[in-house]
Amino acid sequence: MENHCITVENLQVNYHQQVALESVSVELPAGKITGIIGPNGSGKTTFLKAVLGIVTPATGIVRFFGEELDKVRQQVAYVPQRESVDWDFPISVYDVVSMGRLNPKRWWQRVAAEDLRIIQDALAQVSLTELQHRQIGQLSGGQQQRVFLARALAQQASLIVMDEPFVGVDVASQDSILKVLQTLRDEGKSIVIVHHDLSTVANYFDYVVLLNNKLVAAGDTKVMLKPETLAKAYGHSLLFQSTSES
Amino acid sequence: MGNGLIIITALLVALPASLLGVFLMMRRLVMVGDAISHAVLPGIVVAYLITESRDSFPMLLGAAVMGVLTTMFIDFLNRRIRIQQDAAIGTAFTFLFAVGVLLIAFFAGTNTDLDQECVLYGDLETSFLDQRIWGGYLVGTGAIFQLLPLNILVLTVIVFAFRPLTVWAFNSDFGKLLGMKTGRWQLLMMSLVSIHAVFSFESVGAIMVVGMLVLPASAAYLISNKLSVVLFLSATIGILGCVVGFFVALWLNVSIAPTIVSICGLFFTTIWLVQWLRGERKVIQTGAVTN
Amino acid sequence: MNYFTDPTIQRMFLGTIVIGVTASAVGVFAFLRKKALVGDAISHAILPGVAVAYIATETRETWVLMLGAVIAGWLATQFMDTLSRTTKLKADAVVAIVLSIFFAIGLVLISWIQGTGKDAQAGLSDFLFGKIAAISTQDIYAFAVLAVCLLFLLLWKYKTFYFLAFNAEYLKVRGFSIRWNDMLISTASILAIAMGIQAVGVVLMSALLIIPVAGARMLTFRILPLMAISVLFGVVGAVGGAFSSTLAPNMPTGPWIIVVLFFIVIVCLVIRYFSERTKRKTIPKTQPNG
Ligand SMILES: Nc1ncnc2c1ncn2[C@@H]1O[C@H](COP(=O)(O)OP(=O)(O)O)[C@@H](O)[C@H]1O
Ligand SMILES: [Mg+2]
Repeated sequence: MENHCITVENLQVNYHQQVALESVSVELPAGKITGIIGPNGSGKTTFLKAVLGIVTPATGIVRFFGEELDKVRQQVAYVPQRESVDWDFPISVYDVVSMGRLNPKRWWQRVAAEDLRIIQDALAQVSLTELQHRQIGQLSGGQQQRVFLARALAQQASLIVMDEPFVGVDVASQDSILKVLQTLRDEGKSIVIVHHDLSTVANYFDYVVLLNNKLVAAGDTKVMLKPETLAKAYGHSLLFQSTSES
Repeated sequence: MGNGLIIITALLVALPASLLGVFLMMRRLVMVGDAISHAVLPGIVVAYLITESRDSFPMLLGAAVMGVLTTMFIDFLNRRIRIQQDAAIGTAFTFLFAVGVLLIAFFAGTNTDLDQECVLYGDLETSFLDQRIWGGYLVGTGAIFQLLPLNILVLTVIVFAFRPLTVWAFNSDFGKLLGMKTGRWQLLMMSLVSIHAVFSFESVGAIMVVGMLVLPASAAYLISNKLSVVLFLSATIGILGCVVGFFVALWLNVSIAPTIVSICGLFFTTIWLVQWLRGERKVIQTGAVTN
Repeated sequence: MNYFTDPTIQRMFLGTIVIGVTASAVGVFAFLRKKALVGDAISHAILPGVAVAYIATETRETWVLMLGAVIAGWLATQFMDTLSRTTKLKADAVVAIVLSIFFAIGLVLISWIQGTGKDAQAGLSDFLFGKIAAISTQDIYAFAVLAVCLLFLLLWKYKTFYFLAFNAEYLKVRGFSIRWNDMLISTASILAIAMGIQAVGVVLMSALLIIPVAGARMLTFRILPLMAISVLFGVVGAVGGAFSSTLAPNMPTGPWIIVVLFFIVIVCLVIRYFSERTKRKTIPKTQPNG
């Protein structure tokens, strides 16, 4: 049994000849909640997108549970950054969650009775059952974030990758999202979360990766959060930036 | 003689277009400019029908107001009704343009000056017939006398308001921080574009205006990032396009206005291909791949 | 003369209905993908294709001109893709560049054909604003077959296309081929546009794709009603426009269709406005985006 959910070797991404991510090699543990932390523009989103094959990296090898992405695609759920979503798009909460039940191998995109049950379960888990017929723009920030979490749940993936799920989300929603994620972890699923706020790291993550256009450090939260480690890794710049943003 | 007058007319259309186009391009308003150039059509037709002539200044200014109203309608659909911008543009201007075409079709029998063809091609070829003689000397044509004030206006605005226009063109958030009323600059530029669309309609038609707005500006923007340089290059490319296009059209015996735009397109494509091929080599050297 | 048994009139209505249904159905996805103006560029770009096809073959056979149209539309699409991939130009500039270059070349070619005195048979200027009478009965049957194929494609794949327009990255991670699906929708758009240009004209064809769905969007945000209402509007606009254009002699069809469609949009706008006002009065507003 492989005990890393994602293994990255020498991953480099360039945008128009400008380096966004410089040869990152890191292993993320399976069955834990991992935080990828760095200030804005430090390449966190780029890291996720390159790992998931959404942008093509210049170099690098990525493995999921020791396999190539193509073999485990259905096991990987991606939750995009909230600001990258078009909230005016004519789509209902239910339809977004039903995307989790899509199957590229199926010719006719039919929704089976089994799928319907799974979708309703996912909606119930994030308490959106009542709001499922709303257009997605008619929700609060926390509710919007939960829609996409429900989609990941409906996919029944064993690895959930989320980009900044706690930005623009009220405290109550943050807690309920975290509770769902912790339940998932206790069921043995792996969770990777991009996050820019250092002050809340201790409550959220079991493992953290510090990123700033290259890998700064990675390790268990308890070890990493010692002030000496942080100072050594970052100097003072990150601490300053992350508090000013939150 | 006639040739000279035609080239001057073409230049007076191209110069303000290539300058205004730079600002539209920076602000992602090129297709709004296209919409304006279509939307002024019904106003122009009504102006012609009422005054039975082509050069009644106040009526044509009235037509230009249609252009400004169109941008406001697009804004309304976009902001209040939450229809995405591309669909708002596509809905607003096509309706006004259709109305203009129908008016022309309806009155085609009574007013021979206006037909569907001139909407497309303009009348650059015959513009020199409308000559203005003053003190026994030929001083210009009707079209030139309409376009000259427009050119002076556009140049004056760009020279005297260069600073605020630069801020507006690059980053409106920054402008807002400085307490700038970006809405006003937008309104000013859109009014200029509308007036330009109305006055150049007669020479190049309603549809070629967008080519004059976007092609020189984009070609210049591929070469430089500095606003003043882009403006200068854009004007140069527009002027060159007019002169070359005119002679090519004479040579092939085809319509002048679309030939000028085609030549500007050729300039753009050449600049782009040269840059692309050079850039391609660079990318291969550094091994960069993006999508 | 009975209005509805006259074969030319019947043909006209049948033709516009087929075109209206196809364009408004395909238009839903152009709208969802925010490619309304790309459609405008494609329809303008079709003009040189038609002109070259005519110059090369000297025939006015519909399928020859359609072939030229589809090739030109496809080239324009590729040109736009390449430009946005290889330059820093914004999407709107790219659309305007391709539109104006292709259209200008088309006009140069048409004025050249007119200069050689051949346009009398060709009637290529009918392609600018559309002339439904130029369509023959065989054309309509061929269009109907094509329309059925396109509608089948949309009904079969609508979920994939819908979700792709909403969140392509997610589908990519799940293993859907973005490229393949993109190509399917682009081809469908090009075919629908090429089909409509004889009746509506290149200048206004894109409006037939976009205005019906823009109106439908004001009434609903669900995909199936959106498609149904949009097609309904497409048919009403096509029939209403064709009918209006017969009221006076020598009227182009395309502009009339657009005018009718626009009035439908205005009605939708009013409905939307009042339904929102009553909603606001009855339910206390939940905070959106809070
Ligand atoms: N599509 C893109 N094209 C060019 N540069 C980009 C693109 N996306 C991101 N960048 C740049 O790459 C850097 C990293 O961005 P991103 O991964 O979004 O950072 P983060 O998610 O940590 O805020 C930034 O400097 C950003 O400007
Ligand atoms: Mg990010």
